[in-house]
Amino acid sequence: MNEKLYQNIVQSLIHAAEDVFKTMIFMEIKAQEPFERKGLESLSDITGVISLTGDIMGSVILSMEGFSSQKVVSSMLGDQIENPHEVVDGIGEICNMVVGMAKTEMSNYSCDFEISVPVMITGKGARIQHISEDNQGLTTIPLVLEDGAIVHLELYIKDSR
Amino acid sequence: MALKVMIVDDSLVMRKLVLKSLRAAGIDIDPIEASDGIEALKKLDPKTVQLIISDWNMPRMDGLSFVKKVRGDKKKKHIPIIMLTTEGSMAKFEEALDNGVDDYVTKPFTPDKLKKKVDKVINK
Repeated sequence: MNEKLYQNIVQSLIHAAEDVFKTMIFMEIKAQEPFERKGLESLSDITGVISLTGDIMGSVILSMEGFSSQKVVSSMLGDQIENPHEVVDGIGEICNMVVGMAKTEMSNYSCDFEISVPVMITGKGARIQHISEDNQGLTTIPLVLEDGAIVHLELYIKDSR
Repeated sequence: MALKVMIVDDSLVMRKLVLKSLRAAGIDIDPIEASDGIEALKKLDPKTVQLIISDWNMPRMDGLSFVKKVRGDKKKKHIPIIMLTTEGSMAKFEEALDNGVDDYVTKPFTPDKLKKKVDKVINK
């Protein structure tokens, strides 16, 4: 994939995550340096996966520990959320908003694609199968919350044009 | 008198968030909720519902199909509809308007942003 296009996608995801956390969750996040990893396992307890199809194809994954997820969803709703189903639902919506915003930004670079509804996975270490059998080139962007907790935003994408 | 608003979204959290945002913006709401277009059509009473706020991407019947059904029903077609979605491209916006949506709010949103759209469509 064209390196510039790839960097634009990474940056659009970071911009979107910063905006969603600031506007909807009232939390600042700081993106750390992205890194490549191989592996199929989810990095945290609650994971949302959204598929991309169109000019690019692949997956975007947002993964968070259970305690942080509860805190984030509670902050978004302004209420203490105890129900695990609501916590998972809320993380799915956050995942959806981040990828949807990134999609809008990418359309400015003439890169158009459709996004799926989020598929939610619970349990750290769950195996996620992406397009590539060996998951080569899975990029992880650590997003650090104000309390030091880490949200993992990951992507595996291929240029399909 | 409270505004009777139907909130259609497959996410319970998002329905709560819309309701909370409208109340935070000072709008007195009497909500009715549905998790997709099919449930919304069943629950939609055109004599009482004054506004619909619907998500776009939903299982079973998506937001756009739901809007088309409402606009095709002479008893329901007068109800203002705001589409709520994560996708903010001009093409999507135009597609929504062409199919009878009155206005469009992209997520993430603030209570003020949502209130402005609500004020605009109900005072049309």
